[in-house]
Amino acid sequence: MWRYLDGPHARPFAVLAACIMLLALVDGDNGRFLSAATAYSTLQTFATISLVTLGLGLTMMIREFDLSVVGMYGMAGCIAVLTGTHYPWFGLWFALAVGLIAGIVQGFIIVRLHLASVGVTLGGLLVFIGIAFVLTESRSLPYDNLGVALLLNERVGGIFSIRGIVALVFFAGAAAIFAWTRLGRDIIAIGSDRRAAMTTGVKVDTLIIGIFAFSGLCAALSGVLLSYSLASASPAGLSDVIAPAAAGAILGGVSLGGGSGRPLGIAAGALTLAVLRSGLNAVGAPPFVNDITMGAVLLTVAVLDGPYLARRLIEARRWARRALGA
Amino acid sequence: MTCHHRFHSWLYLMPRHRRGLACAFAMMMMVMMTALPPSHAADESKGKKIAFLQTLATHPYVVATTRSFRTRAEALGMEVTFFTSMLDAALQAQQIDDAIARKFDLVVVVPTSEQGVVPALVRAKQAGVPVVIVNNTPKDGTEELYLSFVGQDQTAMGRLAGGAMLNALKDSGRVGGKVAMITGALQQGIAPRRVAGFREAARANPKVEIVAVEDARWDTATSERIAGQLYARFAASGGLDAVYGMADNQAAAAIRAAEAAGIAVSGKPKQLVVIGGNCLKEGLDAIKAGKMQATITQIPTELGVRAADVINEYFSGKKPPKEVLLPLAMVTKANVAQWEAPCTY
Repeated sequence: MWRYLDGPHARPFAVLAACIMLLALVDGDNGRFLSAATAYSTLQTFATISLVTLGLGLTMMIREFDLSVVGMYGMAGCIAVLTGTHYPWFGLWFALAVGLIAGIVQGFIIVRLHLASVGVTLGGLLVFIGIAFVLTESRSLPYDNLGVALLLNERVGGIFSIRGIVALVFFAGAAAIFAWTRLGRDIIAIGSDRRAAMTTGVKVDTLIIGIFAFSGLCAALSGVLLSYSLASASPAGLSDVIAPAAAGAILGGVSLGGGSGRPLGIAAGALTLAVLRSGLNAVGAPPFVNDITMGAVLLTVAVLDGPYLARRLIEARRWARRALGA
Repeated sequence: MTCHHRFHSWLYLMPRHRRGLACAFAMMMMVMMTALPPSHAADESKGKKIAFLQTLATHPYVVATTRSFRTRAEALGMEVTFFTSMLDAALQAQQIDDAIARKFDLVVVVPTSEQGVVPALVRAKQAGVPVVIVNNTPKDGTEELYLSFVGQDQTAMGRLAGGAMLNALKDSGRVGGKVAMITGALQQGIAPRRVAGFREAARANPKVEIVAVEDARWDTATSERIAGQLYARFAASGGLDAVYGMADNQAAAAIRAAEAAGIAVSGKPKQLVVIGGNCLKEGLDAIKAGKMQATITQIPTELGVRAADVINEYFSGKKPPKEVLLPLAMVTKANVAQWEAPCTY
């Protein structure tokens, strides 16, 4: 049992369970945390951050990093609000197409010119933010289709919303692909040892481009859903996304060194952050407590995940014992 | 990068509102009212659960508003829970939804985004949870979504600043002049309204020309840089005659930049005129030193008290007015002493 919980794939779920138990303990019998209201609120936060986390997490799995998700998140919202007042579906598809194409272009540049993804996607980030400011003339825009805004957040089945269901469906799809096709193994192989993956016949270049395209798509989709549901778009962004996304991926068992993680783990990581944010809000903790808790949880996971550190600890203990013995 | 924009836009959470100026008598009445303790029995508010949704936890203006609200509301027997969105529009919408779900008796919102807050306000209305808006309003046309707005008329504040600028230009012996505005975040909210009011007032003198409107996002360092660039740009065509720094930190930055560029700022004939806003301590210091000619008051401690009183009125069964506009006053060298205490917080 303990060995299973200690495994790298189970850890995100263990951390999630620990956070839920901790918050339930803090709340005691006040009933503020373990309630349908908090569950709904948690899934709403999950809907806001999880898709970006999934896209970013996949790029981290192949040992790359897509910084441009922040820019795409904001720009896609602006594009959808500008083009989708009367035809929300048109705004959505248009923004998704932009996200997909931008991802493909970035992936192509990275693969063909053998460039580091951080540099390329930093360029992408600045370009997207710049375009968003130009498109909106540096103003935040209202989205006048309030019906769409209300519909996206309407409660379904007590704790879900359409926004949340879209995110859950994406995760289910990604998990299924990982479980039943060789795509998942190929992605892990690229992240572990790119050259070895290439020699075993993995289409490395195509997959890298595909993952950046998916990351762009995910960022665009969550940007559009957020903008629609807040009935507004802002070139400066409506919500902070890069810190929760990177933290969610790391909590989800993805390592910055690549070659580890899976979609369900990322879902658990994003859900952990959502539980902390909504749960701490529910028990009335001040905002900085959220940041501190998130940092503490991240640090704990990093320490648990650091084999090098663990080895050093064992060595130190052995050394101390020997010194004491002498 | 997104953080950058949002962190420097703290002031766009400051008030606004249309409609003309209250007369001096009404101003005095309101100042007196806010100074008095609540006259009617506080029993109706006793035990009422209030959620107060603030934008920031650290900015002095915001903290002063929150603190004064807490003191007054708790004295009236309300139980207040505070939430902070750190200017994250998505988080604030979430907090409003949470407050609805947790059945607070009333929700007070200082909107983070004048547009992004609207869907959540619609849900509050549908759920029958009364909302009081403080400091800055949601976008126009959403007035039926909230009970009452407590804050200031931002367009009027811009108009007063424009009027102060015309007076100061006249006092310095000019018939007209070139004016530059260094503004707060023009994306939404307060700054665009103050710009509109300022322009409106400036039209009274056709010889006054507004030659530049620069977005400095309420930031001191950005304002100083922009001011320096403006002085350099207009040096060849005879220099600027007046600068409107939308908040006093920006006006003070414009003064520092002028001094660095060797431009005299004492408001004497032919010297640069500087007008500020928000009555911060550094603004009052500049007025006393004769380097700035006027600022317009915006006092957070009154804001919190008025908001709590409006809520108490509502629980006492009275229908509070749709708009509770705090008085505006122009601070010049003549009356700077009397504003020293209220503007220091």
